[in-house]
Amino acid sequence: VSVTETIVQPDLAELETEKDARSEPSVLLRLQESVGRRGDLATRVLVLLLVVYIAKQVVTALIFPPFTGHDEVAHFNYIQTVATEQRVPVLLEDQLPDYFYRYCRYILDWSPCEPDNPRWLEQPFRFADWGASGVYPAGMQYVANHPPLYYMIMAPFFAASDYLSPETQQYILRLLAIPFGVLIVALAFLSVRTIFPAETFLAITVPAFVAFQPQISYEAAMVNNDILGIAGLSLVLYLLLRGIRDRFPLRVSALLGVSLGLALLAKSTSVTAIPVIALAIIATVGIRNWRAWIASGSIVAAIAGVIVAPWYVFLYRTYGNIDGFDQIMQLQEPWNQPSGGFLDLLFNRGFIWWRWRETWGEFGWRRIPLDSALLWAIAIPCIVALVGLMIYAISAWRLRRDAAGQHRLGTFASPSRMQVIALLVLLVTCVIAYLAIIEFGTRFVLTQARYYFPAINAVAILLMVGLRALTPARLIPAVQSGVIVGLFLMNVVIYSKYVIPYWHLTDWSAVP
Amino acid sequence: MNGRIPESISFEASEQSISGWIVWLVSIGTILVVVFGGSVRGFLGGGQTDRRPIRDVWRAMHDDLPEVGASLFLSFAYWLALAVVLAGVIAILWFTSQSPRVEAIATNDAPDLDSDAANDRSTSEFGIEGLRQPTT
Repeated sequence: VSVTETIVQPDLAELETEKDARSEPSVLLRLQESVGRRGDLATRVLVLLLVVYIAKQVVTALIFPPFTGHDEVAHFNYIQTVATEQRVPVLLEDQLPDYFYRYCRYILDWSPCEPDNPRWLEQPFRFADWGASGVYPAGMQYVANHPPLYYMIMAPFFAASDYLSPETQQYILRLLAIPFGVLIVALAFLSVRTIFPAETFLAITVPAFVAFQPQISYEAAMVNNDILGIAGLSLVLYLLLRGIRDRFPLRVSALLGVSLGLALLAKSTSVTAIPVIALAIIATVGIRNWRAWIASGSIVAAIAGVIVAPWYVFLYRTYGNIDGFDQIMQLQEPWNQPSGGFLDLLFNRGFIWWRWRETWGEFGWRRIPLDSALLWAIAIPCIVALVGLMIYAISAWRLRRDAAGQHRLGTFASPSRMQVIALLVLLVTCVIAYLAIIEFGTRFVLTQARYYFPAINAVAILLMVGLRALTPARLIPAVQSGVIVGLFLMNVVIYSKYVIPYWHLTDWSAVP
Repeated sequence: MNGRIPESISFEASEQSISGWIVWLVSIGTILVVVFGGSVRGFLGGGQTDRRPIRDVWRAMHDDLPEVGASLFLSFAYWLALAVVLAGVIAILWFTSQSPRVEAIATNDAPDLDSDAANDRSTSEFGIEGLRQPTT
């Protein structure tokens, strides 16, 4: 007799009571391991998805003309400095090489920008007159305050390809971003399997959502450190979920410290992980069990601190602060302004809509806008999934309250304490990531959606949990297929209607 | 409790059911119609837009591939990558449209997964309607 996959859930339901979950956390671990080993449906789909993803990323890297990614020239030059001079560049001191003036349209901010004028190509502007604001340096290296890990990883490849043109080198470096994207997709799979080991629907749709999210894909096909930052935080999140499941044993805490340190060395936005880690540890071991959470927290903090300390010491000695933001503000002084106050931005519909636009389109420095109709077509299923998530939360809470101690926990419908904490941690991750870009916006006009992209795996899991809650068992094959079709066609439309016409079909000489 | 834990559980894809075939055919039909028969209205500059078949857009992209490396290799890589994406998505849909069969290699008194009671319980447990029903 053939049965549906959902039959696994009642089976899982036999596994864990609230009491058992505390005393025997290895039950879910055993089940997860047994599920993962057998080349099950979700694992097969993951393998196929990764093959599709790599092929898609190669095409993506080719579609965008050289150095058109956000700050791609500056990131490329950072790698160049590390590879050729064995040092990190310094804000307000290092300049971008003259050669890159031809890409001034994509650089912050090399004006006056007249790349078609042979005179300026030969001898680019190094100062810009901003009228009443004064005269400011132009063509400066402006990502020098970013942590060095991405550039150190890429430097050997740059050095090995130094005989090629900068454009060819740039394409090589773009392709080298793809493995980080692969890692993020794989971590999405592992993360959701850690929380719901037997939920095939989630194990299929969550990594698919991440793999086909157009802006995450864009980051994984450009020269930039964002993609390493996203991978770093995805790893932190996965280890957090492992820690929640296993009650933060020493090994997981140590690995968490290493991954946090590396994430901080990849992108400073990873700092948002720190309160999430603290919350996860305390919620898991219990606030009254203070010895345990202080011990776990100390291990994480000590290891991460050792890894990241040299970088922060360097920042402090070089800039007198630990983020270089004062120097960035100095570079952007002619045109930068705060986006608004914290509460203004929090409730500003325009601000929210702009972040939504940047989450799915724009590509680079707000270059390729998507139509409102398409943005709403994407928003509506996401809103439905969020409604599903709320219904799920209420239903699961009632189920746990009404049947406390009477039935087994650990299923999708009646999550165990571990699963509840895991979902709450994912939710807090999303909230903190969003609040962080608002905080950044109180100082910089260029705050943008990609600063919360490191929370992509958390977003994907929560949305798909919501969708799963709305999906009756008999419709699972249709709905998960529909998710794949929808994600794929969304990419086809975005690239066919917007991206390729923008870069390859538009007669820009006819544009006023 | 431990006596009821199956030693291992594997998810083996069952043969495609009729409903699975329908889901798969509808899914790939939608994709193939859009990719090979669809068109989009794209921006051309100067306030002009133009409706083009999607396949023409991707051909135009091919004609404008960057001039790095051997052009023949790049051309081959481009079409190969697109073919892999399309074939890969169709293959993924083959799996996602299936209703997997569960095999439980049980130890001791693991639950009888094939029983009607188990089936009833599984189908009522999910979706909104299932969330209202506690598992006891």
